[in-house]
Amino acid sequence: MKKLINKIVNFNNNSRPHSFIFTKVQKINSDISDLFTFILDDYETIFIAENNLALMLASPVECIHIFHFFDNNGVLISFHESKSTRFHFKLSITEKITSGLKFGSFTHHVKYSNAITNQHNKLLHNISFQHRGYTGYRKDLDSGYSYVHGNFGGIYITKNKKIKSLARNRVRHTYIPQLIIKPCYKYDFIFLNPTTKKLNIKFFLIEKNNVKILKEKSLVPYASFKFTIDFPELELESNISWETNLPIARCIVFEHIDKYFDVFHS
Amino acid sequence: MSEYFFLTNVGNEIVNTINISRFTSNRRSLSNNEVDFKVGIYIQKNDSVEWQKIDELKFNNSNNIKLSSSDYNLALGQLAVVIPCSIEFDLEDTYDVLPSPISRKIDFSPVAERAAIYFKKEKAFSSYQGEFPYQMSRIKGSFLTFDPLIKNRNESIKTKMVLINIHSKKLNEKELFTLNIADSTTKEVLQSASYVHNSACVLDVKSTHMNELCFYSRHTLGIPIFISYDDNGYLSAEHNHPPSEYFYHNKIDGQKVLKQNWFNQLP
Repeated sequence: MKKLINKIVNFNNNSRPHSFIFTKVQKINSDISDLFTFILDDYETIFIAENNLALMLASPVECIHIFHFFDNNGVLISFHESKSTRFHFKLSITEKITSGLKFGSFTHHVKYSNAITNQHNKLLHNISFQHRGYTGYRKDLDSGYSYVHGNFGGIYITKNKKIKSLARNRVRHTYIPQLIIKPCYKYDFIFLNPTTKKLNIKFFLIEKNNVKILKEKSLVPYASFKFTIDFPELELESNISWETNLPIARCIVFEHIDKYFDVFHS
Repeated sequence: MSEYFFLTNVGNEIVNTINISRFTSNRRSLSNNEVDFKVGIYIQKNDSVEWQKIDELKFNNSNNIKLSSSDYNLALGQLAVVIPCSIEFDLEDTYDVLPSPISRKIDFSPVAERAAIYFKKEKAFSSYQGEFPYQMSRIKGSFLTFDPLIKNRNESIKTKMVLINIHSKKLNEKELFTLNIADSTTKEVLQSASYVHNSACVLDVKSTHMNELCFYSRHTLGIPIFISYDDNGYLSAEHNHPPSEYFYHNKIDGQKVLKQNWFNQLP
């Protein structure tokens, strides 16, 4: 009885980021990718993809890395494959790969030959892979990249090659990153909609004793949106929050001052 | 879940700061948005197992607390552990066992109770939203990670690998451990560094390593942070995700097999 009560208390479907049926009841046989963002207007973007089976085996294995690219309206625009036996594979994302687009989102999945999957069938039977990866951005060719790892998504590809998502909208949640909005700094918040439903976002600025709405935006499935804060008139340090129907609405944040920038996930 | 935070001195004039707000990172919109708490800051000397309080801070009239490694005169690799605790909690001057941090979770919403962890060198800065989970501080464990964040290095860019280990349980003595860098393919150890309980092992990764690398310790777990920087205003800091994040279903089993396979082959 205690177990049953605990299960009921912990069920808590209103705050589950992913589909309960697909994650707890019906096993997804495909691997799961976060949704990542590319920016090619002022930046170069690279992606460090993980060869999960090689990492699991501690031995190089030939892997086909599969990337799907979406424009900022969530429309699938291109597809890219690369083969590598390395533990980590680096993809330089160029406009050739993104069909000329400078801003949008992408996913990463892996495929292994039948010979390899048959050889490791027992090992692979009870696990599925997840792709978080690391996206690197830089503005200056002589500089290094600033990296951020993936942290939201739940995108998978069905046997019929359809793109689906485990991410779900729930009741309204408010997310507040541990970030101080500082005077003289500029901030870009990049939101991606990992769900198959419309995502409404409402942004708030939290001043010392005052909360004001900054913007409201609606995103179609898989769409990308950059929200910029650049308030030269801001005198005091503040905080920012956003309200959505995602149980945990993380985004990618760029913090800029002068020629310096930082990128991190919220 | 409840979390510690940390400050450390990684050397080369890189300053580590953290920002913590009174706002819980994620909540249902109808829930209250803040938790009142204070933070205690504790250090251990390199040869001591006693935690000493060096500071205690409240939010007072601000929504944020800002802490800097430069305010506490930390030795290279010395950790200052930041403990969120209730306002009423009486923080003693010394402890054998580190107090557990309070949870800042308000409702059922999934949340990692984080702080903004910054590294700064002159005007260059880089951060991530991070923490050191209390549960991790109670486990001996082992550590394994890889090198994706030091790809694309060039001669002018230097990289530090910083392994943060916090043990909140009572220690009778401080043991000496080894952090190794090995070639991921040949498994040959290329570089090593020593560290003790409750410290940050700071390892300057030699730029001569050209192959894929792995980093491991058989003796403690820890959080790996890679800091890359140059003298021209570039600095990047990011933590690696743990091997369990390579798996969606059966994360724990997947991580166990992965670690077994690597540790069976590594010296």
